[in-house]
Amino acid sequence: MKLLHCADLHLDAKMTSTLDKERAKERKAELLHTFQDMISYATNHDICHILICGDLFDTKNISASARNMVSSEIEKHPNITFYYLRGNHDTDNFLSGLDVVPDNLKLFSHSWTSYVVENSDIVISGMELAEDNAKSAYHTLVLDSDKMNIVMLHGQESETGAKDKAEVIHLRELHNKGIDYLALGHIHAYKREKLDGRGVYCYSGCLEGRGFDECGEHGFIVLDVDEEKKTITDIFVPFAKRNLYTVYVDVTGCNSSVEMAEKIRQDLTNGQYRHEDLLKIVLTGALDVACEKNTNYLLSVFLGDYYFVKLYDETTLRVDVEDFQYDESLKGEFVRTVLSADEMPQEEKAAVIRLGLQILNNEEVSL
Amino acid sequence: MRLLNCHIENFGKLHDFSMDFSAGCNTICQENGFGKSTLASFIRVMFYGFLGESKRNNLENERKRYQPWQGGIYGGSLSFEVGERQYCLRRVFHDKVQNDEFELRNQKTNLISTDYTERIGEELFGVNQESFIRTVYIGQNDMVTSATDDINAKIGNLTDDTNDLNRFEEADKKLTDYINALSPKRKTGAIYKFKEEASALHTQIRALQGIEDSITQQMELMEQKRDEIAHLKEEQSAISKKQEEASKKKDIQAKKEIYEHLCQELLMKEKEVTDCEKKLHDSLPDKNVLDEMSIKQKQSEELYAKIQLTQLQENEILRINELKNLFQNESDPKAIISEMSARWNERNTKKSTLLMKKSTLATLISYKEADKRRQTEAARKRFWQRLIVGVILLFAGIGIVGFYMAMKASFSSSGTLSTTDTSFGNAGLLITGVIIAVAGIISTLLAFLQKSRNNQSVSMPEELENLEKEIRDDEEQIQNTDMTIKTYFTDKGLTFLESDVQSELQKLLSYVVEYEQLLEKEQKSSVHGAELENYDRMQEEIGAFLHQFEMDVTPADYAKSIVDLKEKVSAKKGAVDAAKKNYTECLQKKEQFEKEYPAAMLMSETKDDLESLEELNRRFNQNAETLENLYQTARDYEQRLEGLREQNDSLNELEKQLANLNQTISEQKLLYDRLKYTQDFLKQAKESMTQKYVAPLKNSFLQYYEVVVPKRDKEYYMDANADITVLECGMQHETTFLSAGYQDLIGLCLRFAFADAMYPNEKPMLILDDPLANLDAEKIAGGKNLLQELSKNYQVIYFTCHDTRR
Repeated sequence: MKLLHCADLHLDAKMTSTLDKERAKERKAELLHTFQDMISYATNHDICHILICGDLFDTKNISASARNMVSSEIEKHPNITFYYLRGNHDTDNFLSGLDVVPDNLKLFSHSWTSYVVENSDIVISGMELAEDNAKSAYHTLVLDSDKMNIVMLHGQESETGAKDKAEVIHLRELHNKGIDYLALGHIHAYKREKLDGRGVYCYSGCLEGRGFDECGEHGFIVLDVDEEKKTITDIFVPFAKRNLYTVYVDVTGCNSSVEMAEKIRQDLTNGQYRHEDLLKIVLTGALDVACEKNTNYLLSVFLGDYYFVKLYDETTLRVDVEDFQYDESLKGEFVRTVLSADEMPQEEKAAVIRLGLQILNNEEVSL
Repeated sequence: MRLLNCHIENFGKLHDFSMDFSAGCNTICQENGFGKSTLASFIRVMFYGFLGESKRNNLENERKRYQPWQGGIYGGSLSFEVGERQYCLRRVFHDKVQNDEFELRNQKTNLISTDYTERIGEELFGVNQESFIRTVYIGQNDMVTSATDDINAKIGNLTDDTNDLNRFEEADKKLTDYINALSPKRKTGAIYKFKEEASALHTQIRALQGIEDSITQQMELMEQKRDEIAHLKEEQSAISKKQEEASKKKDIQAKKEIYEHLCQELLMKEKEVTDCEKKLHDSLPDKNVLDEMSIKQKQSEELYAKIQLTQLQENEILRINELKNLFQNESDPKAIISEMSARWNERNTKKSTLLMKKSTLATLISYKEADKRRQTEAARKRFWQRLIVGVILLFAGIGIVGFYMAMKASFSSSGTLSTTDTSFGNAGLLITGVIIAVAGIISTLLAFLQKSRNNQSVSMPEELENLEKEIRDDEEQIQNTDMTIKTYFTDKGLTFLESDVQSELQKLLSYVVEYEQLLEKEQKSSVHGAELENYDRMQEEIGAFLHQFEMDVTPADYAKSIVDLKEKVSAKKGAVDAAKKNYTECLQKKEQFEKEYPAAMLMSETKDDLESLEELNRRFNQNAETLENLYQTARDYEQRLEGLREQNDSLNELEKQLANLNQTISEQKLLYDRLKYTQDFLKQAKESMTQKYVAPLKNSFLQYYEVVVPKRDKEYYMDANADITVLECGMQHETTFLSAGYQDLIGLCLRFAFADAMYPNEKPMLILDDPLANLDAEKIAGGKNLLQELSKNYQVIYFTCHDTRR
């Protein structure tokens, strides 16, 4: 029997933190499409159970289109049972908006709720963590060790158990409870670790990255349960339509924008990023103060190659004092004057020197 | 460097003008209007080109100003010496600089020289035109000067090395432009504009800031409506249940009503049965009695009929008398008629076979004659055939025997044939011949025998005669029968007609039957007295019976009355049966009903505390309407929420724009500050550079000044920008506070000081256009001395219009 574990879909997320209004709208729609595609994947791969471990929606103000799409998808697939455990972003608004809760939508509450998968030994249990049940959650969990136990939770993992507040999952407290697979949500990157001698815990990560704090591949986990052997095999399936990557490019030694563009291109080619991906290129390294660098030009070079590109300049300027020590020109006098200035940070001095040299070299300054 | 000569084709008012220049001081003293300033400008323009090319004002735009008055192209040539090389520079000016012609030739070789380009002034003197004007070229009333970048750079001897000090002003201007372009205070400044934009965005954001609260409120309203909907749905559900209960109650009530109705109906049916039975028993006789009466009536009727049958009627008496006349002499008239009928039938049969027999006889006679002819012919043919065959066989047998005899005689005579060899063959031949001859004889005999037999068979047959006899007997018998019947018919008064005989006999036979019946009835009518009494008694009983039921009718109507009574009884009985049937059906219905519905339900008490179904329906419909309105309101809220969400998205977008704008502003502000720092540091650097040559420049200035004014009357200072200040009343003041004469003097000395500092080796020519015009007489003398002093190191081209300054 196959099950699908996903979480943190954050449908209806605004997506404006990185993108402009039009692309944000496009990505918002893509989130919904990816959710639909995930259900189609389940249908095509004989998966009859989808575990949604929280944060299905991003905001309490769920748009009508998102709500209708989700409820329609659930109703359109009566052969798939959806186990929806609400996360810290989810509210009652989706459920209260439904006239009737479909039979194939299984819900959880602040106390442990278990569902036995029909004609099998698989038991799916879950609890929506909150302040009122955070302490009791662990000792109230009673599982039959003879069954295949899948437990759903949403929260931040904590191995130490030091913190005692809602939405923290104390993994140590879940040791030796008979859990075969702990399906988690909240952390937006895929993670798989051993829970105890018997089971594992997995964060599926989000379905689509929304910002450059969610870089890398995203998708869901497919569980293959062998009831005879009493084993669960979990495989991460990359499924995001677009991935986000932060690419650090060290341009030390480059003396012009052309050289820097070449270095960036080299690094991007090595990274094998897809045309539909979103990239944040960060320039690093120390550049000579007299070097020519035009970030607008550099951005324009790669803008059309990917769905979205932004460029951050984190390079530092290197000023070689000896180069100007005996320079009797105005340029030399200027550099010496700036360097001798008190109460100005070195980085600022470098920036001023660079500006002065640009002006004296008759270069354009990007305003 | 020095000028050698010049030739002006056309330039301003000068036309075809030539002049040679010597080393030292070249004084050109001409009256006003000669064209001294034009000549001075010509020399400058030959090196640098025109000033004010883009100006509209003719005075400021030199290209227009120096166009020949008579029109046409203009220009000229200028020969000069640099080091040991002599050049001839030629320019022809047109309407615009692109069309101007430039030519430089080596004076000695007369070959085109590429040592200098069209920018020969800058290349030769190392300064731009502006600096040239401020140093070695002193135009009329243009004495005051200050150090330009080029001057500074030239003075600092930095031009050849890095050539960047002369970029200071350009860089400073560029920085100023950048700073102005970014300025947060100027309306055209980017930061100012961004701040304005940010302020507008901020205003828009403030206008939208309540949107979150609005969404929350709208959500709360939405929740309220959803709660109301849920509450109303629950209420509807409760009403539905009540409706169900009420409906059930109504059903039970209906069933109970039906049951009660059935019970009442059953009672009624039972009463109907009783009434019908009572009516039946009270007003009508018992069925058995009635049946007895009916039988009695039937018996009396039969008795009456019987009595009636035994009495001969009048017509019957007449008839029997008629028939007696016909048949009283015959003992058995039926047998006689039957015999007559049989004989007539036999007679008819014979008559019909007689014709056939006659026909057969005629046929037989014709057959006999034909057969006789045919037999005669055939016998004749057979006779001749057998005779011929017999004769042939006879002759053949004789021939064979003869041949045998001949053969035997021949062999016997020759003795060639042994007996042993021929005995068998000869005997066979002889026997064959004999047999054939015998066969021929037999055939001939048979032919004659058959011929004689045929002659005997042609004689009259016996059967033909018998047939003729039979025919004669039959005809006789028919005639006898006809005679007998004719006689009988005549006795009975009937006419004999062959075609009517059979029907007349049948009619007589029916008369006989009728006659016998009438005779029998005549015999029976004598026995009827006891039966008649019995008949009267029965009639009385029936009459008395009918009287009991108020049916006083004549005996003739007894039967009908009894039938009526029977019908009435039957009808009443039918009514009783129908009533009983209805009762049974009703009872069955009731029992079936009791089976279908439990007695507890049918006997239960009806609760009146439940609302009526109508009331519940009314409430349900009312709630449904309210629910629909609530759904509509919820949909409206949803739409409003969508609108608010869009506005919220706009707010987010605006906030993002504002954040980006603020980020841009801080970046621009940082850049702005850096640009200002850069400008400040660049100025400091420039001042630091110029400070190095201020002291020698000041010394040179004072040296020249003291040539004009031997006893220095004022204290002069020079700053790092080579600007002169004068000490007056203990304070340094700008020289603009001094008189025009002093200003000219200071400017003149400073120019020469610049020239000294700028050109330590190759000295350029000095073009002075009446520089002493503003000086008093004492200082003019000093000025002249100054010129003399200068001419030791420089070629001086000095223009003046007055002899006192010559």
